[in-house]
Amino acid sequence: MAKAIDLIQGTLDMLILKAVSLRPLHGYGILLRIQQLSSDVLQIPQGSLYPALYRLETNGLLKFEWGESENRRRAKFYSLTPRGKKHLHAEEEQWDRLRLGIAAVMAATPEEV
Amino acid sequence: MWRRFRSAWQLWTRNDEFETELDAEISAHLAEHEEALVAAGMSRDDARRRARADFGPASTIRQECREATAFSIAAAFLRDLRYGFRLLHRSPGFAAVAVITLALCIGANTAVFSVVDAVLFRPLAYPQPDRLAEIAVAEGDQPTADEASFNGTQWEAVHAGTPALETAVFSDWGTNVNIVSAGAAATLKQQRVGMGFFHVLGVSPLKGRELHADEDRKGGPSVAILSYPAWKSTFAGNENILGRSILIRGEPHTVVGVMPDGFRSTIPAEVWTPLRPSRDGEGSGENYGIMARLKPEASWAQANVQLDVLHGAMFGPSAPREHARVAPLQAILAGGLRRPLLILWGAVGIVLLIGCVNLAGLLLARATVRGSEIATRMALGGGGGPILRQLTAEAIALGVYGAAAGVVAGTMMLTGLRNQASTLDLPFDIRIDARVVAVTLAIALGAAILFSLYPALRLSRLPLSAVLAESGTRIAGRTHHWGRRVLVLTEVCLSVVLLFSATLLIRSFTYLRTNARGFQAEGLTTGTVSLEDSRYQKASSVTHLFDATLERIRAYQGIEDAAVALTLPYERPLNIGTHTRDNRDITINLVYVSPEFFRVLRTPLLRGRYFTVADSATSPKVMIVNAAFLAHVFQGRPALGESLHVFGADVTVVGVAGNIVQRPGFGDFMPVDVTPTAYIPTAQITDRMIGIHIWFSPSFIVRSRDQAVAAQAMRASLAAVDHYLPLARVRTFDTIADEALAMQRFEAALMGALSALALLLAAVGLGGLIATNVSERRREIGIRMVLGATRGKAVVAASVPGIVLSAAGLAAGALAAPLAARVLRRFLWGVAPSDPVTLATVLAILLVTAIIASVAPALRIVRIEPAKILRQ
Repeated sequence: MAKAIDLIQGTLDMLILKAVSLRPLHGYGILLRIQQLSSDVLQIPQGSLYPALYRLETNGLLKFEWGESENRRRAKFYSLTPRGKKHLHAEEEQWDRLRLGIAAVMAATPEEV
Repeated sequence: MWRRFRSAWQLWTRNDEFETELDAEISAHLAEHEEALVAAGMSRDDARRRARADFGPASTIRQECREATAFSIAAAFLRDLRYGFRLLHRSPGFAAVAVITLALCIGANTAVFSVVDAVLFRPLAYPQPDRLAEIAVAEGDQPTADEASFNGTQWEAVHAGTPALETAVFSDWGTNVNIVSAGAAATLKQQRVGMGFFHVLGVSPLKGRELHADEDRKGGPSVAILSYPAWKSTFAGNENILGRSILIRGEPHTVVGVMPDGFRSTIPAEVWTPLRPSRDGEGSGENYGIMARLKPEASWAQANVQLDVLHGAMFGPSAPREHARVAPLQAILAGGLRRPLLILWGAVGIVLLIGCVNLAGLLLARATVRGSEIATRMALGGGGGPILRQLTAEAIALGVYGAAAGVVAGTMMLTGLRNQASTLDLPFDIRIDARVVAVTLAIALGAAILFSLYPALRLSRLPLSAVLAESGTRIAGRTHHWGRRVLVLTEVCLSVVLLFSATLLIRSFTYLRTNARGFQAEGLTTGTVSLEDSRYQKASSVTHLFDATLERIRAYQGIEDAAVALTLPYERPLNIGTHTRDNRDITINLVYVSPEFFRVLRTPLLRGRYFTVADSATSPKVMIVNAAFLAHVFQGRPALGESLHVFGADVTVVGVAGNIVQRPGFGDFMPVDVTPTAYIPTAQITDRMIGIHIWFSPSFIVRSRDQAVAAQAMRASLAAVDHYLPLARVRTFDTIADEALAMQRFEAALMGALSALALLLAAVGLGGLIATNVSERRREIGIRMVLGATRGKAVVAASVPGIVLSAAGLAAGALAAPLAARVLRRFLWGVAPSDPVTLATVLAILLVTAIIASVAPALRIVRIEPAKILRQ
């Protein structure tokens, strides 16, 4: 298992949106999904997930429904609103550009400069 | 926004539910984690501890969740507001212009609204004011304030025949009376009211009692009720005032009551005495008002039905169309003020609109200047929402300052307004109260937010790249000033409407004030004596008083001549009904005058002769009529030798004099106009006429170069003849004319002030537009100048758009103004609501203003140094 790294500031929202875009998830499920998708590279402080969820919900990017977890517990299942979908799309594009940009910079060799 | 609002609302209202849900969610999370850890082989206790540790500090996270939803809104708003105030403070110039604009507009609105509110909206200060009414005469369905007077017979019929109402009779004819008591003397406003008047209004005396029935009939004991201010000032708040005897017009009256502080009657009054209604004398004419309160369980419809039953007793068969109706007291008291006030309110609303348009222009200009800053912020990821919120916050900060300054300005303006209105003798308490301030605040904040939204919305949708690219070069402008141009055009158009209306009212007032008076007012001074006095109940005593006093006045050094008359020019004369030889019923004005009257006033005699000393109490009765009388009554017949039946005697016409302007008091005339008037000599006053001194106080008229000498001569002469008769209201005809035209003057002055304000605001708005344009195009202009354009050409190029814009506004205004002025038609005399000369003048004034407002800021170009600009 690779060493876990902390999240870049501000990317948690994007990760949450991505996680619930596949199917509705409850809070713990979102956590597991992100860890699983990142092959346990990304470690999220568990508690910090909730303020982010409430903020996204208040801003109209997420909606929720009460449902039952696999362990038959009452839980809130979050999913994307249309606005949330659009927002995720925009974030993904921006992320791509940022990633490419950074990668290009980091890949530079002394000869190229 | 709505979503935020809703979640905030939910949080306030359903706090418990929110907390429960949060708890459930967190404990579900912990349980899931714990299960996962146990499944991975951890002991239950360790797993529970580990789950809590992994989750982090629960209470902090809960708090963050709360903040993430609702509290963030209030916090964000406060942050924005603080930011707004900071922004405003950072540009004091902009803030000052904006706040002054708001203060002037809101101040004017506050002042006018406080009057409108007091007269039209605020419930009258009586218990259950909605059950109070006056009886009025209606010819169609709508009873009017001018037709709310009845004679004694009608009053008796209403009093006995309307079981649905409690009624009381009163007189609206207040007079100034002299009051003398041990150690106190004053002139107070007297109103005569019938038994039960205060009871019907629902106000009991503070001390003592109301009038008794036996005091309110002929020959009953003379009593008086004092107002609280009169008791406090004239009688120094004497606790033993009840039962004391005071002299009112020389007659002893016993004080039986003092009304509470703040009590207002239908007219401003300080002392009340019994009316003693009757069917003859005063009661033979329509001189009584009838106050009514709807009894519990009764309805207005019932009252009207009961009044319909009385139709025969009240009007007889000759007036089938007239019927008595109950009319709400507030409407009756507001009377003729309603329309002028609504017009004034509309005008002040237009001023507010112009002010707001200016404000929008200012904010727009400012937003444009800040365009690059905002674009940068948006490029860095600031969303449209927060930026919109911040721009609005700045406007709210403006609104707060504007409202505060507006209330201060309004208070000052109201003082001026009250001074103007004091001549109107309104029975209303005009003040700025919480209600008025609340409306002001609502207007200020509403206006600020509304007019900030337009620029804010525009900005939050800015095409970023364009603005960012522009910010370096600043050859901006043309495209995005269209909004402001439309605003300025609207402003100019509204200014035309307002200035035109004001000019019409001013011209109308001037017309009434200066139009053919029929006498030479310069050098005349008058003074009034009240003859409602026990010693002047015989014609002979009145005639003697006049003759002896006039003789003494004329003997004074510096007095050219003197006369006496029942009423003065510009005043309302006695209206009496009579009939012509061919039995036509007519209303005429009657004035008694001493023989020198026409000579003193320098009014020409057109035919026949003046009165002489030969016209005495025993010689045949004679009258002089005016030219209008010939036209109206004799219809062109030679009047000399004709006779009319007046006060029970046949009176022969011996002369025709020129017309003298008066307040008509009847018929379809202008506020001051020439009316058919008959003059009779003072020597032929009869005992039957003495009753008219209840309402009319005769005046001496003295011609002298020195006003002070005239006043002194009148005072001393009167004192020598009757020591107890004070001379009141020493005035010149300037004052008398102003009093007669108080309403017209009030309207003209106020509309004039408002339109001046509108003009100023429009000029500021236009100037601001040009100034912004010039400062934005400095660089472009500099380059053009380097390329050979002269400064003169540049100035013209910069100012011409403003002038063209104004011309378009003027054209729109020229179309709109005559239409708007139609509302004024009922208040205009001597000038048409579409008067082309007035319109041309107004347009010229505005055009000159527009040119100045456009050229002045453009002159800043002269100071541009092309070399410097190129280096920048």
